[in-house]
Amino acid sequence: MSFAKRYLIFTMLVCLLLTGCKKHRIPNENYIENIAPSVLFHIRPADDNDNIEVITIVPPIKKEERKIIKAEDRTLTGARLNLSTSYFREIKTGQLRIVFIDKKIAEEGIFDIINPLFRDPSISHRLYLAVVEGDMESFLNTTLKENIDIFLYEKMSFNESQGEILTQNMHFFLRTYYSPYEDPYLPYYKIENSKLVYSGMAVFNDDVLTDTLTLKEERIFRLLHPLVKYHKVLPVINISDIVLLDSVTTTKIEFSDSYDEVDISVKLSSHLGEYKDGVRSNIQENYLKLEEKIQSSWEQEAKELIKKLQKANSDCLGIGRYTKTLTQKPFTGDTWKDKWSSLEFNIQFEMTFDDLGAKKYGKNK
Amino acid sequence: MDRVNIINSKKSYFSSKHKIDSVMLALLINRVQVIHLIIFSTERLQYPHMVWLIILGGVISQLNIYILSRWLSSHMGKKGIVGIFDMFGDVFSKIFLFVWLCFMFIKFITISSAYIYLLHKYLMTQHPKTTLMLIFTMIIVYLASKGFSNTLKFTIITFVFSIGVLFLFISLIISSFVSVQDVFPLFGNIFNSNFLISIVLIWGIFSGPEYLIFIGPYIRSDVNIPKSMFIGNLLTVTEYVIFYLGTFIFYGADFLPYVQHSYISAMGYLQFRSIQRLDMIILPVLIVSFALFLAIILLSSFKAVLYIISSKNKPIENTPLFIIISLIFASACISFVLKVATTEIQALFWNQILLYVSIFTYTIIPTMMLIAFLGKSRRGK
Repeated sequence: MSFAKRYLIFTMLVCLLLTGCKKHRIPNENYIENIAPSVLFHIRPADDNDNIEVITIVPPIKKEERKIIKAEDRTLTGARLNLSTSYFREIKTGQLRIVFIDKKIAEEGIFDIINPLFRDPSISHRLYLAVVEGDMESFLNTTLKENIDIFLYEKMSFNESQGEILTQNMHFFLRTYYSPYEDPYLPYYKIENSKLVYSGMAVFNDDVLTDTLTLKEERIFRLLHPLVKYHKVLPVINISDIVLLDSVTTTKIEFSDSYDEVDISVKLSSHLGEYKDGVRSNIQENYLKLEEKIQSSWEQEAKELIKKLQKANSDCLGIGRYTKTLTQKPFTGDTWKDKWSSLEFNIQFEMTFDDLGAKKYGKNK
Repeated sequence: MDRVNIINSKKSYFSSKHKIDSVMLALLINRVQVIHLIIFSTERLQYPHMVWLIILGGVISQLNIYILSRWLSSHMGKKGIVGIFDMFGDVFSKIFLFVWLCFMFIKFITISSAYIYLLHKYLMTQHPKTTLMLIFTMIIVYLASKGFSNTLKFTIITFVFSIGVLFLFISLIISSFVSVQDVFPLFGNIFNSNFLISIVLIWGIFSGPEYLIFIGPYIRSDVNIPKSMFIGNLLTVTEYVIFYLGTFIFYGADFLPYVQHSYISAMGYLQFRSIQRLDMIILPVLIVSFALFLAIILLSSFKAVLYIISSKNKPIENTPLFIIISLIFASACISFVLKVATTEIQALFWNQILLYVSIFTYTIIPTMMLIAFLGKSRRGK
């Protein structure tokens, strides 16, 4: 037998075996005309009873008219399976990329929503999560034609690596949830004037949403966070509208011996991008004063942020992780959480300008 | 090309014309030990400071490797299975081969059902396990039908295809939003109450090379066998340590007990611009290391059956016997996976059995070799 004949027989055998060899197992399984892999889920509490309602957009890719379908049930998986009853295709979760969770559910405990998503082996761990407040269903209704679900996914996927909007995926959420040294956080969106607006960060205590940070506070949060090392654009709004570009930060966290005080020192070096000054001064003579002003304003804001986080009883910054040294682990179980509210913080910013830009700003009068 | 030809019985499964050299021997030892990493992952060790136990286990397994390498380089070991008859005597060798055949049978069934369980759960959920097992055994039988020396030369392909996983894993750790604090504390109290159980379990992960006692005639005569096997074991220890610390950095010590099969879940997190969910590709590619090991087991059991049935000097090796043996193994696997290893609890139970069998054989075989060596050398004096 020649090579081509052998290859043909082999391919036919493989194709025959790949069909699964069992006719009556599950009818009409996985024909591509019969499935609808949805990309976006929106989960919110149902109107009149305790159920969970799941909303999605179908069909995701075909050139048909898109519409929204929803279903409700006591459990998340039940609602997901009920979705198929209101449409003529089966809703598959293999391509699920982004899940928006309503704020009311997040205030009661989000783990029961995330656990079934985690246990499904067809959903990847890179699922983006977000907390939304407002009527997302009408927003989705008005933007159906623009492929809003794929647009939102691309936006989040871009911002994960090199953007300025916070994104969080399921893997890091669960990692911080299970760890006793840190608490999870999620981006927080609001529906205002039928537009989806990114308005800060939602802070969790274990899995209950306790507080939301505004955009300004979220900037300071990202400055303080030990693992965020590069900020492309950093506005300093309180003093005369300064914008810093290309900032590189290093954060150092040190504890006192009895773990009652924390020293956080952040070193920052950046370029001066834009500087609106009322005094029209020579920037190269006054930059030291400018640095000090920026530093003290940041320190003030950081103190307020830490107070807010302590009141919400949530260690989003992951400071508890730094209590572990090479040889010992002084806090185990819930003891770090008990300690978090009574910690005293000394925060110091140290900033240098890499590049000041032009010599003078404004016209000399 | 070689063809399985039933009429022409001049084909030999055990001709030793093409022999493997030292690099292939080292890679063979490595690939045979890494199978247990894929099946067991890091489920049983809970703390990052247990990494020293892995290194300790690697050092102890080095002693075993040394004994096995001395067996393979002695003039009895170079004759392969005939050397076993020389060392143990006729009657005892037949009993030993029969018991060894049972152990190889159990190992064949449990390893293939563990891999098929992973494949079925993560990739091909709609396919019944019998179909997957059928294709899997067809691959193994095809590889084994090429002969022992060709099977051993397959290690290069196995290594090339499955070493990429290690580099992808390292790239995953470097590019994530993680810090080194998750591996701390690195020096902890190893000698707590779980110490004996942990060291026994790590011991089981290093098993594998004791199934290679028959490959003596297929190694080139100028190979420094202790050195190659040492390097193979060292590669395995490095891979284990990197993987172990890597999962702790990636998952954190508290999330790790809730993740099943961290080897495959970590691969599922990888993403490139053109391909996402890389575990869809990596999980079937890992079939090569399983196929290699199980083909070696199949051929070794074929040899053992031959030498039990017929006499020592004139074994009648023919293809119908090979087909019968492979059919027995395949049907045992398929019925095993249908009846006994279907649910998750049953699969976990058989994984435990696999671990205990590995520990048992990895302790007993080198001890027997050592005792027989000492006995022979004392008798020789």
